[in-house]
Amino acid sequence: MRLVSIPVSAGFPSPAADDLEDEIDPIAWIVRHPASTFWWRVEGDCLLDAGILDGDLIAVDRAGVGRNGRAVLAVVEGAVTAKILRREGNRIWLAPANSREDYPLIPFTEETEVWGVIAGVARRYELE
Amino acid sequence: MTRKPIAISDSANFYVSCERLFDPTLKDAPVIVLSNNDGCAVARSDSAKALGVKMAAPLHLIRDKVEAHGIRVFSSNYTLYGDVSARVVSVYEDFTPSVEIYSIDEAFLCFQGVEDRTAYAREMRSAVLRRVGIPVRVGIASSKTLAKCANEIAKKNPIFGGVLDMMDETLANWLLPMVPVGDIWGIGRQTEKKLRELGIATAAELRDMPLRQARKVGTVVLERTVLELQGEPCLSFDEVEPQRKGMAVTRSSGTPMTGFDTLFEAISAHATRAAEKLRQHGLVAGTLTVFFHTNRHRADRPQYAGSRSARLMPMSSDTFDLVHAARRCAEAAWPKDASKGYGFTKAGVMLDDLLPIEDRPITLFDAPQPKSAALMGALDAVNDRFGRKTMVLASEGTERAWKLRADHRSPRYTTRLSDLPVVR
Repeated sequence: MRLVSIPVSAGFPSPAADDLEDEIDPIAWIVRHPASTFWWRVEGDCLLDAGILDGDLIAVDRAGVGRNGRAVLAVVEGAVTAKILRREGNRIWLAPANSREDYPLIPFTEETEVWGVIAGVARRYELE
Repeated sequence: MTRKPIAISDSANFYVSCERLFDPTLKDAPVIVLSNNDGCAVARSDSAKALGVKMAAPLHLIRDKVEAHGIRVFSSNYTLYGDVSARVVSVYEDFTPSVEIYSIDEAFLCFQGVEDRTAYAREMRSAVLRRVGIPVRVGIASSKTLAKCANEIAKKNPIFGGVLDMMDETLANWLLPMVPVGDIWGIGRQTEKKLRELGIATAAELRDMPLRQARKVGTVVLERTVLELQGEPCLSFDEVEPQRKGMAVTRSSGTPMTGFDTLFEAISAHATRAAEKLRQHGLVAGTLTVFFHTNRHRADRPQYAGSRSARLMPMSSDTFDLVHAARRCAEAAWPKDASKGYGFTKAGVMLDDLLPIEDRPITLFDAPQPKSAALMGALDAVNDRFGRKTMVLASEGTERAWKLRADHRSPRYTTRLSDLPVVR
């Protein structure tokens, strides 16, 4: 009689095998297009009512679509500003979102350029 | 014979475009970017060119011009340029399955099977501009030399709107007589002189040169250039003299590379090849970038793209220096979650800031270099040594780095939290 040696798996499957998942990564959740997303730091409370505060880090996606009501970065007269796109009739504005302080309402002209659309916000608080 | 279309996409004044991305006040200003150690102008905006700032003009000789015209001066920020370059390449990869990186701002793309190539290239061009904010120009032809030539023509003639498809022979026949022979890829000053003595002054005349004569004048490389101008692809860019702005050595790997050692084997081979090529042409490099990524067209596999740049201090063409820098870059770019089992299908080494060796700045820390030949032969031994000495060498590297002049460097906008651009 000949003996043939063949390994046969006869144990239980590893109980952990189905539980191997990646750690959650909220940054990857915010950044949908890594090639076109750039992080900026916010100074000032121009978009306070939109939940974007002084010191926040914002992800800005250049591939995002600028629509009425969306928060965007725009280039106006050589400066970058964070505002809300507002359409009223056939006019478009770059509007602040702050009911407490006075920030300018800027008309969107031919020279205005949308740098990108705000894709998300990151903020952290003191712990100690 | 059907000829396959090859496209080359490149960004004119790439470094300037990167600086402009985060600083809109630079949009209409003349801008120059300086080489390693703030020596001379290596990138100039069109307006700076118009003011007469020549390529490689030393900063101390153009001070008057800078002040008189308010030219904005930047030290080179290779960290930023490397990151932006990787983003541009990833847009290309949405448009073609095959991207061959040639330098930090140039890549060859396979356009096979594209029906309306001009429209497709325009679409790609506007995608890069919109998503990354970098203007590129595209030249298309059946060989790399012709594609590069088409790209140059598109760059110089706004009428083409940044895209020129020269697959059509009639178009090539019309355009090539207008291209000076010295503008052809790989034709250096020496060869240009020899050709002009023979009465060959244009790309068309070079194309029509007898092959045997070409070989006699400029070896097999010139012969191949002639064939390439006839539309026959036969030149690998390993053979062409590297451009001053930089070069890349990169290969795809048939079987995905999974471990660090396997990946680094490939990377050190590329770095070794790059060093050889530098020495062959009497050049030294100031910056080395390592990049590698998984197969982007296999969405079912875990995806990762890594890229890091390191300064070469002093500037070098030494295999030891380059492999050492490549090691530091590869380690820094290696994924922290490597246990996911990434399979890397492409790896490469890119060199930037190239200078003839006699022009390189001498630094305080120039140490006598061991003989290169001995080093090259001992690459395996070198790799062994790195395993043990990496820590020491790396720390030497960082200590030296601050000695480098970079008085006008912009923030590392995309790679440092402390350097993020600010919006008010």
